[in-house]
Amino acid sequence: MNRSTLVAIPILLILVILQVSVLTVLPFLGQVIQPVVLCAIAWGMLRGLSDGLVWAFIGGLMLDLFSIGPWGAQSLAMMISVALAVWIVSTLPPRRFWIPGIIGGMCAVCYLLLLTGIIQISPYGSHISSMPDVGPFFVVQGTSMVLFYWLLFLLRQTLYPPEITGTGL
Amino acid sequence: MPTQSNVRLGLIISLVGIAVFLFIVDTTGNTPGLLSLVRDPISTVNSWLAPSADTVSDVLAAPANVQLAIEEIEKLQGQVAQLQRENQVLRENEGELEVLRRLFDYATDSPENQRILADVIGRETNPLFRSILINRGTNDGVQVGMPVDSDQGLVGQVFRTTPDSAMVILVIDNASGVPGRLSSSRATGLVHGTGSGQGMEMDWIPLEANVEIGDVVLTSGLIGQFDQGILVGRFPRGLVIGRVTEVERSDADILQRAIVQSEVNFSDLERIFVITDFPKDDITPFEDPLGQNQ
Repeated sequence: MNRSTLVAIPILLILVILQVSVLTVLPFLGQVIQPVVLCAIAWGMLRGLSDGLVWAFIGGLMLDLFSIGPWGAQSLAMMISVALAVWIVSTLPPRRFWIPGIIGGMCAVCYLLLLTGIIQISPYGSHISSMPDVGPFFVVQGTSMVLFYWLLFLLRQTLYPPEITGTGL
Repeated sequence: MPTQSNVRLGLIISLVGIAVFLFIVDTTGNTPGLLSLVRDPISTVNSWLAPSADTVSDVLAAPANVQLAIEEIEKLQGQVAQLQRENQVLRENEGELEVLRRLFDYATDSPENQRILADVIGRETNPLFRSILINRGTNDGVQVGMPVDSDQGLVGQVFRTTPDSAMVILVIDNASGVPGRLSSSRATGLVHGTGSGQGMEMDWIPLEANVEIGDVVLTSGLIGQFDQGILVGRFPRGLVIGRVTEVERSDADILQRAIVQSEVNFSDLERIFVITDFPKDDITPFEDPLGQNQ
């Protein structure tokens, strides 16, 4: 296991516990912040597709521990969203502070839609009426994404410090 | 000419005479009137002077007293903070006691149902589902399918268990179904969640049944099964599910539908009951009509 995977387990576990016990009772604009989804997307944007998918897989399974939904549904939806985020970020100019927020919001909505589709074909039946309002969901997740992206940016700098190259004097 | 010795003698006699006079006056009880003649003017002057003297005294003793006052204020501030903390704890305890009292009263109203108390320790992570996590599991006798209620009404049923926790699917979840009965007309139907807010729908109500807004919907005690994506559990009779807020009826249909609103505030649930056992109807003749397994 590489460093990215090793740090993923404790970080995502803490975020899952935070989401289950705290964030679900503190909604903003009627929406619950999805820290695990946002961190998986942010890590994918910062570290690339492989690391992002690993975070999405682990995070999704951990979320499913505290859900009555079918196992693997959140992992699957999250991995596709992370792949989408990585693809989008590769097509955009780098280092714009608003990019993580927009991509985070968009990919979180994508995650929600995918999840609804996956549940729709599962034996749990239709849950379309349970789907949160997409507009507020986008705003809340996109705004929160800026914070999570910044924190994970600092984590990446710590785990993988940039190499200093030069010719010297 | 009086001599000096005569003057001295006269003075002594006068002083002794005054002393004797005062003694006689005092022993006869006439002192207050006499003393007041002297004391009152002095007291008046004294009352003017005393505060000023205190002020002067305070001013002279100021440095030491300020230090004492600061220490006293700090001590009192500490005591106030301590009392505020204790007050907060007492208020929390009072609220908790109130919740427990309501739950206790509710549980004693239906002693035929065996219940265990559980704390809500978490909520659903999937934005499409409605469930809660409780701190009781198989070690406490909790099993999948057991009904869960609170003093406000039916909450849901146990969906998954671990030794020390359980996931409870709420009655407002789309995948939840409860066999219900209208309290007024006794008509039965299936109550299932809509996934939004506190709302539920009661389907399969016969068209001839008179359904009115405000009717209380109770559990019917009928047996359900997992069907068409809806998990229909088995519940004891008479638990309050909610109240009818709207009726959807069309003459073209043979059935009608009611919108049911739960009284339970699902977002603020702190403690719930898991009903571990309740009186059940004997259905073995229907399960094995020919008695082949006997």
